[in-house]
Amino acid sequence: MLPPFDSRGLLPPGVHWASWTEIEVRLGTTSHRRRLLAGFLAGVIHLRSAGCKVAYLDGSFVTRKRRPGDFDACWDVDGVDLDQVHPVLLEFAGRRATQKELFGGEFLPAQVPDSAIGKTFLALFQIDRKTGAAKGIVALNLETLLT
Amino acid sequence: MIKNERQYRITQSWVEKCRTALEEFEKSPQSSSAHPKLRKVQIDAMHSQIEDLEAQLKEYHTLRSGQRKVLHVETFHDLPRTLIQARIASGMTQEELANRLGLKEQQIQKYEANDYSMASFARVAEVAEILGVHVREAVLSGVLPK
Repeated sequence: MLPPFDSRGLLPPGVHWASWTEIEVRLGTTSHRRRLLAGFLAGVIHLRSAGCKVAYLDGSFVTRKRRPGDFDACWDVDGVDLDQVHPVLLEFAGRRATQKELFGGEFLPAQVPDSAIGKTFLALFQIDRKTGAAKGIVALNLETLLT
Repeated sequence: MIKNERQYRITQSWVEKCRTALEEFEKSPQSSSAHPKLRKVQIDAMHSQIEDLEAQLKEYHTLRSGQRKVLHVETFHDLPRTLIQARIASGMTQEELANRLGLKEQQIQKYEANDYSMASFARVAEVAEILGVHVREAVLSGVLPK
């Protein structure tokens, strides 16, 4: 269940699991947002077919912002056969330009080794870079996505 | 988009941490159990994140230095962002703009965080006037009868 946005217009801190229907209802509130969601769905279907089990949605898309520029997603690398992943999803050059062109948003791998950065991308996603405060993100179970 | 000095400092420190982490990772031994492509994917993603943050720092720095005199607006959706850029370029803080409008700094922060979507048109026009933002040209395309 997705909690309501807090006074900052953000999700409260934590990882909030949601079904696809709930994501559509809560975050697909305008035609622009629905277009972005369609792009996100296209991306996660590709990821799912490569073995990905979980994807996360972040950025201004999961806030009260009426017109987010794009969506920010990251995906769990566990169990993923990288040889099967759509090549554009592994292309990050130019600020993920080709991903934004094809899907309308960007997909980053959720994990980089803990020892390296002290935090994975998944953890970084949960910090509001504007203030340093914690914020929430949305998690989608890809294994049950189309059931 | 970086909108004030505080966000600039936070982003700078973030970039430092990411650069250090990337250096450490690149020096670390390859994991034998991981997919051979994974390491490259992770390194590329980290590079890309750093590039992104550096571009945002550069945009803010360029605006603050007053090097940009003309801001191009393609669609009306871009206009709010242009107002934020204009404020930064003018050297005006969010607090100073708030004072000029008789509002609290928090209100300007909220307006900017939401790209002025919560502000009335009259308010947007008022901000544009205070910042000295003038529209030179509005091009009609796809509207006029053939």
